[in-house]
Formats: sequence, C-alpha cells, structure tokens
Amino acid sequence: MSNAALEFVEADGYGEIFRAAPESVRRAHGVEVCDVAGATCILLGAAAAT
Amino acid sequence: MLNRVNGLGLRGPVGDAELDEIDAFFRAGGTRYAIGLSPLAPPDLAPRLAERGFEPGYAWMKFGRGVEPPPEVETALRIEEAGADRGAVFGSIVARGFGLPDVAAEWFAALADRPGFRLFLAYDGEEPAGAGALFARDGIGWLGIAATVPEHRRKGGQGAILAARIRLAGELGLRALATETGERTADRPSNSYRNIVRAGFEERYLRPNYASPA
Repeated sequence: MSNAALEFVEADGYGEIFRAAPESVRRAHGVEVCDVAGATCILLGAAAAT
Repeated sequence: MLNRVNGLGLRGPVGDAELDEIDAFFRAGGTRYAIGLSPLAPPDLAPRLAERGFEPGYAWMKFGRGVEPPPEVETALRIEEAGADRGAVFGSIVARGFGLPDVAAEWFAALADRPGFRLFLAYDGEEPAGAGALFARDGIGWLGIAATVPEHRRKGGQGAILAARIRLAGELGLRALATETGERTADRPSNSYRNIVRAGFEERYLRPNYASPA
C-alpha cells in the first residue's frame, strides 16, 4: 500500500473530525474550520481554553 | 491536534496566496498554529515555510500495516464497540484522556453519528477507561483518537483497542491501515509507540510539525 494512501486516509479522517464539531460548540467556543489548497485548518478559539 | 493544518500539499502545489490565506485564518483567531508536513508534499514547501519563520518541531511517526490478524493482547479491561448511544461516553473519555477542554467531549461525541467512523471503548468493570476510533474510506483504514484516562493507564487497554480495530478492519474487507504517534525520543515516554509496533505496524517515515512564528 502506498504511503500516499495512508496519508490521504489520515487527512480525510482529521477533516471529518474537524467538521464534526457541532454548531453549538462552534458558536460557543469559537471553533472554525477552513479548507485551503486541499488542506484542512482547525482553529480552537480562545474562549474554549478558558 | 488543535490549531493546526493537516494534509497541506498532498493534493497538489501550494501557492504563496494559499499560505497567506492559511496565515490570515489563524491570525484572525489570535493564535499560533502548526502545519504537519508530509514528506509526500512538494519539496519546496519546507524551505518556503522556513522563509516565513516556521520552525520544524516535534515530529510524528507514520505507520502502516495490512489487516492480517493482530497478536493477542492480554488485558483485564473489556473492549466493546460503542454504538451511537455511547457517543457521549466516548467523547468524555477522549477529552479526559487527552487533557482537552470540556468543549472537546461534546465534539468527539458527535463522531458516533459520523459516516466512516467506528468507535471503541475499554471498560474496567462498568467504568469506561479508554477509547479509540477506526475511520475507513476508499478501502483504507485510519486508527486514531486513542485515549486512556489517567487512572486506567498501563492496563493494556490501548493495545487491546488497537487489536479490536485491526480485527474489524479485516472483517470490513479493508486493504491497509494507517496510524501515527509522536516520534520516539530519549526524553519522551513512548507507550503509544510501543503499542503500535507490538500490534504489527511498520514505521514508514517521520512527519515534522512546523510551528508558526509568534
């Protein structure tokens, strides 16, 4: 199995985790997700750390 | 895992405008961030990140294996797949196991309804002790979200959850499995690393995490 396939499934898995954040959680804690150039960016807002 | 970028460069070239877009996203949130950079990404990315002030830090080791049956694991814990009704328990164990803020429990609980995910829990009697997930797509499985609450560590729970997920992957007809953990260094404990190797995974490569400048 190619290393690329192993990378893709992990990246897809993390992407699904990031997108699973319920809307109520996103609003209350400033969680944001964006997709750029095929990558997934996850931001946990400062409110969540308090 | 939080405040980070995953998969950068795996699906094609990455332009400066896209790096700027990523940077603006995190700066708007007022935080530094990390980019996990695979050796499969375009080779120009690492030097371009360095030019922007990123520094390579603690790396993750990428592992792969087939779906042949795993070695037997001895544990006093009981391993069960968690149905949708146990999502909240799964989320709670993951949040506690990773030492994440409370927000993470509800978040990880939501995976119980997410397509592609199969969740597992370890129990000491009736008390939930550990958690782990299998995510499957296009015939390949990824084993992630392995967490054990502090009072139940070193009981063999994670090794047994690994084995349960590998067996399920075989039953599902998957072709291969991937997982990862922090690189092995002299100054960091490596229980997770040892569990993964014992489960029959092979080291593939190190993937550095580039930390953004302050």
